[in-house]
Parts: sequence; structure tokens; C-alpha cells
Amino acid sequence: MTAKTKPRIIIETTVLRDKFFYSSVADDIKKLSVNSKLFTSFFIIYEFKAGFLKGLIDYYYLIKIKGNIADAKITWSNNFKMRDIKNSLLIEALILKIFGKWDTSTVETYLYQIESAIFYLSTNMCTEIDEVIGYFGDSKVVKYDVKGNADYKDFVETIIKNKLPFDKFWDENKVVLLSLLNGITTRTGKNKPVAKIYQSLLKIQEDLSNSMKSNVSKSVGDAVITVDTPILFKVATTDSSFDELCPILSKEVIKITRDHNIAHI
Amino acid sequence: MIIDIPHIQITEPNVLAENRVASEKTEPFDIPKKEEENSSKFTEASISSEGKEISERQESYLDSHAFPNIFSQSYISHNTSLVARKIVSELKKWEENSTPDSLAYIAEIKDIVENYQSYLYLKNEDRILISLLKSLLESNNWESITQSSIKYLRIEISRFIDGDVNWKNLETFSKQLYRNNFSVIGNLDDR
Repeated sequence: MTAKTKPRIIIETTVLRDKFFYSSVADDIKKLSVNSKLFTSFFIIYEFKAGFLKGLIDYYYLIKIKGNIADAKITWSNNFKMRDIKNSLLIEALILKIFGKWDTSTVETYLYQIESAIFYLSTNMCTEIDEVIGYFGDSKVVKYDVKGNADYKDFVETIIKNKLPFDKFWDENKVVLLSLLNGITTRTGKNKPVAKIYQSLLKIQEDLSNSMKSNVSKSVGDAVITVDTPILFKVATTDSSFDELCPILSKEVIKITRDHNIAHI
Repeated sequence: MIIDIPHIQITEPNVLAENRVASEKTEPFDIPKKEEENSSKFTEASISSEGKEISERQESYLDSHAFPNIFSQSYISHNTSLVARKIVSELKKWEENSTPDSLAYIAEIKDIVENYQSYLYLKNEDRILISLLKSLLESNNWESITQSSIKYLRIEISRFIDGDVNWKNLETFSKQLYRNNFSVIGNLDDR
């Protein structure tokens, strides 16, 4: 008789991030960890670091440059792009929490609070994760350990100088790319996330070098995660695009919401 | 030029960079001589009175020297140790005498952190420790905290009692706070 293996679940970027902000998401991860083995991927860690942590660091630098919190906040709110909106809103919320509670008589004190928040997020990003798997394990950004503010400049430079080898990734997954393109039904619609992914995947199929373009690579992150997730693994996410992407490649989705309901589709 | 005033060593500003580099290397814990002689006195019972005296002298110094960035590594370690000991002492008293008005203990701890923060801002690891403690105090619902949580917190802060804050024990501290459901950044559930 063979022992039954625990279900294996990939914790996706949105869950990895939202666990810090919503107790229901943190509780759901704890519940999942009881009977399952929790994984995340190197690419998801990359997204967390190059997206969310870098966003906070950018904000940290804005305050330093502007010299006062009010101007930095105005610049920040005019700065973010639609694709970064989720990260931006959470960073804004986090900053408001710190801003609302702390003595802001000196900018320096305020910056220290942001620094400690970055440290806390960085050290606890994978606290519940049993194993990290997938492509992009060699990325310098993934390996980068962000500690105090002395690391920020080098960390940001590392992100800029070390693009992930998406062209190689898609070259090795040409067949899966075709399956995704054939399986996606939401192909049009300007603001529908899956339609955007479809259009970008089409560009990659036309020419693999397109995958290295910033606007293309940033819009296909969910597709990369779906492809990079091994067969028989489930993807725990709050993001609706996985509802369409995962079934195409026979991967199950665990939808995590912010109101304590873990919904399986 | 080195100016010695009781418990405070001031070095010239151009020595600061050197001190900072040295602080990042492993350096034996070195408390100032006067405290070294009396280090056996640092029992929990005596922390309160002795700490108060030191605190008053330091506060008066701080009043006239906002954000000084001139303290030696050993002096920062000494203050880190003092903060940790004082907080641990308050948490222990809180554990032993838990009553509905126990918020007095957390208020005392907030005072300790506020009083000592300027010393700890000067070294990377200590700065993050004191900022984490500040955020911790603001982000949790202390009115409904359990005694077991107070005990956890006391044990976790005890790891800094020797004044040595390094990335490894700081990371462990951060992870243990997260694992024990202490919030450092607050959550957005009520928004």
C-alpha cells in the first residue's frame, strides 16, 4: 500500500503579498499548510521582489529626494501605471498606515519605518513555504537578500541589469504556448486581463524576442506562472485570470478571497 | 579628538565611517567600562532604578543633541542591551500581574522605545530592530493580547539582551513575530 501524498500547492504572487494585509488570506495559507505541501516558484519570488518590494523602495527614495512626505505622496500617486495598480494601492495603504500613526516631524524617522516594513516583508515572504521550484532559479534578483537601506541602490540596479531570460523560457515551452493560445477564449477586450495576456502571447509566438520587451513580459506574468507550475500542482491565487489559464493546462485553481472563503473551481 | 562624558563617547565625525565599517564586521561585545564593572547588577529587579538614572542622563544629553550620529559601536550595543532588558522586565511584570489595566505596561514599553530610539538609529541592524519594535507597538490590539503572546514576545526580545543585533537574529525575530501573529505593518481588514 502506498502512502497518499499531500496535495501540492503553488502560492501565487497575489497571495504571497495579500497575506501581509488581510488576516483572512494569512489564515487561509495556514489552513492549507496543514494538509498540503506549499510551494512557490522562483518567478513568483521575482515578481514579489521586482514588483512589490521595488515599489516600496521607489517610494522610500521619493521621500528622500523630495525631502517631505506630502510632495512624495503626490508624485507617487501620479506615478503608478495601471498594470502596477494592485501593488501601488497596497503600498499606498501601507504607507498611509505608517504615515497615519507615526511622528512625521522628521522625514528620517518616517524612512526608518518604511525600512523596517521592507525588512519585515522581505524576511517573511516565504515563511510558510516548504519549497521553491521552477525556472529562473539562477536569477540574481531572486537570490538577492534585501536587508537594510544600504542594499536598496544595488538591489534596484540588479533588477534593471538582470532581465529574466523569457525568450529561453518560451523557447523551451513552445508547445505549451500554442496550447494556451488555442485554449484562451477571452481574446478581445481592452481591459480584460486575459485578453491582454492573449495579445502578448501572440506577439511572443510571432517572435520569441518580443518576450524580452518590457511591456510584453510584464503582461504575461500569470501565463508564465501557469506554465511554470508542474502538472498535478494546484495554484492558490486571488487573481481571476488563473480561472481561465489553469484549466487549459489541466491545472487546478484554489481561489483565495479576502473574506475567509477558500473557493475551489 | 575624543571627548569623554559619562557613558557617552564622542568621536570626531570623520571617524564615524570607520566605526560603521567596523560595526559591520564581527566585533566582540564590549560594554563601556563603568557598566562592565556593574554588569552583574543588571538583574531584572535593578534594571528599573539604574536604567532610569542612565535614561535621565541620556535624555538630557539628547535634548541638546538631536540625532547625534557619533556613538561608538559598543555604546550602541550597550543601549540596545538596556532597551531589551527593560522591555523584557516590563513584559515579565505584565505576565505576572495581568489585570484589565495592564495597558500601563505597554505604555511603559512605548516610553522605553521612544527614549532610546535615537541611539539605535545609528547602526543598520539596531535601527531596524527599534523600528520593528515601534511598528509592533502601534500595530497590535494590546487590549486583547493573551498572556501566552506576552510570554512569546518576552522570549523573542530576550535574544537581544546581550546587545548583539545581527541580520541572523533579526531575521529570526521578524519571522517569529509573523509566526506568532504579531502585526508589524497592520492589516487592511477594517478598511
